[in-house]
Amino acid sequence: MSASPPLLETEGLEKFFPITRSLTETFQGRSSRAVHAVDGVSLTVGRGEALGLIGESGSGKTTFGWAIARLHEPTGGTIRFNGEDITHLRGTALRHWRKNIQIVFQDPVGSLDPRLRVWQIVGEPLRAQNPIDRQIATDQRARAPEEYRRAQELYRLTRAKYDAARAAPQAPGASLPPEPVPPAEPILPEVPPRITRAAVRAAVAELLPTVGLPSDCLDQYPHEFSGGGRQRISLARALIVNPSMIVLDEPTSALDVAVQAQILNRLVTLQRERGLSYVLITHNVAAVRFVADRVAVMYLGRLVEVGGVREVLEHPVHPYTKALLAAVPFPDPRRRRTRYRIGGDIPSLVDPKPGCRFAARCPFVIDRCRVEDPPLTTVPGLGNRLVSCHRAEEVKDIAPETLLATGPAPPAPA
Amino acid sequence: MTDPVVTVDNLSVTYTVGAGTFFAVSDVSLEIEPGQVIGIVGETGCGKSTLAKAIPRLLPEPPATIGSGTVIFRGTDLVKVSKRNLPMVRGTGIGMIFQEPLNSLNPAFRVFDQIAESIRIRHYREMGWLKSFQGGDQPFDYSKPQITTTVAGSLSKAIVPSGAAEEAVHDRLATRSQLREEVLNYLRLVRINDPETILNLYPHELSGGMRQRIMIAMALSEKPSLLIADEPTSALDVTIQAQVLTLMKELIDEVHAAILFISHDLGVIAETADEVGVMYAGRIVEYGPVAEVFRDPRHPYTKMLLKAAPAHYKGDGPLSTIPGAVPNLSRPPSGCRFHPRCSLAREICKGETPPLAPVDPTAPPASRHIHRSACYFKEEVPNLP
Repeated sequence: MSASPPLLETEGLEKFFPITRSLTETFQGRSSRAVHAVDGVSLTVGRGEALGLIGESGSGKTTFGWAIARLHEPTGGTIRFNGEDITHLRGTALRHWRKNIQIVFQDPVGSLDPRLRVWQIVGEPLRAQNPIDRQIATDQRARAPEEYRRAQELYRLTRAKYDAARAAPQAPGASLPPEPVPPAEPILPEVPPRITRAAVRAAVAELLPTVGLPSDCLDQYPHEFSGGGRQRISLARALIVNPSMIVLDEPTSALDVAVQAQILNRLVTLQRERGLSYVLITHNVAAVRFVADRVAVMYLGRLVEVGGVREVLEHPVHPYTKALLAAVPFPDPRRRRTRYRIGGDIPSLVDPKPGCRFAARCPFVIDRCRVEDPPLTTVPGLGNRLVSCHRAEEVKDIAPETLLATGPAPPAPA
Repeated sequence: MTDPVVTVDNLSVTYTVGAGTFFAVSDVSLEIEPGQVIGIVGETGCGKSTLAKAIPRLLPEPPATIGSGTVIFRGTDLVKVSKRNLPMVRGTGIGMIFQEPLNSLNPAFRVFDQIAESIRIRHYREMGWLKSFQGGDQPFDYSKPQITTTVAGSLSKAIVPSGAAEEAVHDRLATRSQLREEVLNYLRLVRINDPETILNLYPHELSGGMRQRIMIAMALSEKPSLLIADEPTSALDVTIQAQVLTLMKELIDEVHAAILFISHDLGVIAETADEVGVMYAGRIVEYGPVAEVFRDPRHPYTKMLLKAAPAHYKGDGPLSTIPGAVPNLSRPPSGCRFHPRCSLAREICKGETPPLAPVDPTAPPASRHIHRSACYFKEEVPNLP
């Protein structure tokens, strides 16, 4: 473990959505049942690292992304950013913190206001952060004299004590307490000026080429762009406050293959240039292989497997990871039919039963899986890979393709 | 070789919107034989969905106009059917499966009513209570025995092994319980567990995969000889997509329907289709058996598209992309529509539209099921990086 804390660390993060059946329940804020969207997820993301988060829809990966960007209030667990607990930040502190993590949403049409121009959309975070910066600086300036006065008083008292101790006869071997230092003159932070329209436009125009847009499209509207162009605007909006981490929520799933390749290339270049951290939420395994350093596989609100991207995608251990990878269609007709399907649908997230969440669809299920939650632990012989499966050691060498015969048959006609 | 289920010849579709005319589909020719799965792959806006909807005349006209071409289905040119007669054509042999199953199902009706509706209409047609359309001015009569001797007729035979086909037609739907039994048969056909419960549910209570199965059951319940699937799995998760694709592959053998499979996902097409047509800017630029097209693409666009797929990414360096952007179809480039983005482009590509010609020069040019490419320099494509 390195000395400095990881950029982002979650511990047992939980987000439950209560299901309220009546108005009484809604007002009393209690409910008997809840959707366990994210159920105890512990993950770390290092500085400059890209983490891929894959899973099917309903696996809680988007909820997790929203929770770490503090767009959802977590119902349990902790989120630490740079070692600082941000789980329940509120008010100005939260709004000031927001520039650390930005998010690119899935739908490039729905996430851009159709009535704003490009410079307004991309510059909005700047204009939102500016008053917060100003307020924080003003508060500091207002607080500083009082704090300085208190520090000086404290200094006077400790100084008097110290002088008394020095004047008194000294016992042999006893050392003097350290000499108190007078407090430094407070440095009053400059209150940043109110940001002007021209400054926003200049900042946006400077940023646009880095995401591959011409800098003269400031006055266009989102509808004038193609899907890829809109996603670039979204990306620029995330980048403008210089965040240290970007949550990418399905950034390419609405795009065509060729455009997708352009955006993915751009993401990798930006990461190298700016040392960004990514949390790439997607069901596109190929995109994860290209962008991410590490990959976490989620199923029904839980992590099932975490590890290096090459290792996990080429040598999956958890049966669900195997099934997910085997189900991905590959653009090569020679490889057809060497796949197996997992039967059944994704089970409900409402008050899930104890035991492994994948037990109902797993081809290797044993009785223990239905009773006992498998912990997310290391598997002997696989380095720092984390897998949550009781039978990880037995199934770790089974290739996804060979599951063809053992996969459960499709639901038989009644 | 059997008669084709549907023959599309030089079909062109334009949209007139505001001041501009968009050439969405230009000179597309296709031939689909019974039991065949034809895949159409292309990027957004290449006209593949327009093609899918133009074949059964589902496009809103206006703004769409079918400019030229023919769509021969069961001996009838669907392009020439007048708007008034279209309801008689609908649901008589071409089934559609749409992309977004939640938007395609009526939220206010239970599953049972939605499937029963199309069964009931087919039944009315078979009984002769509802006019059908078959060629010229002759009404299409399902009950006539000679119909089953033709290819089209044999395709429209009962596909559900319920034993109901042997009974007299007019007895079949006499009671609600019989109708219910038939609906249940279709639900079982699409491998739905516990169909009795599903019958009474509303679409919002079902999962995405289940809704798409209901859509498939609805499309099959009119006994189509051609199924048009427009991005049927794009809204589904990969494991559910794998289930639905497997189901569709199994159904091909059971219902003898031909399938026109539209998708933007190269992987899905590689998995399911027998033959694939690659569309770019409204034209089919390459066509052929799926193994040949994917392994040895002979059009620069196909080659670049396959290379851009991140699934093919190995090692390091950036993903390869296609320079430039998809052209605006209101002002398509002259000649070969891909020439502004193509590294092989020469003078001739700007002036003249290359014909879709066989890759193998010795092949008979008339055959429609061999590997063909619309590029003047198809011999040079394998040498592209």
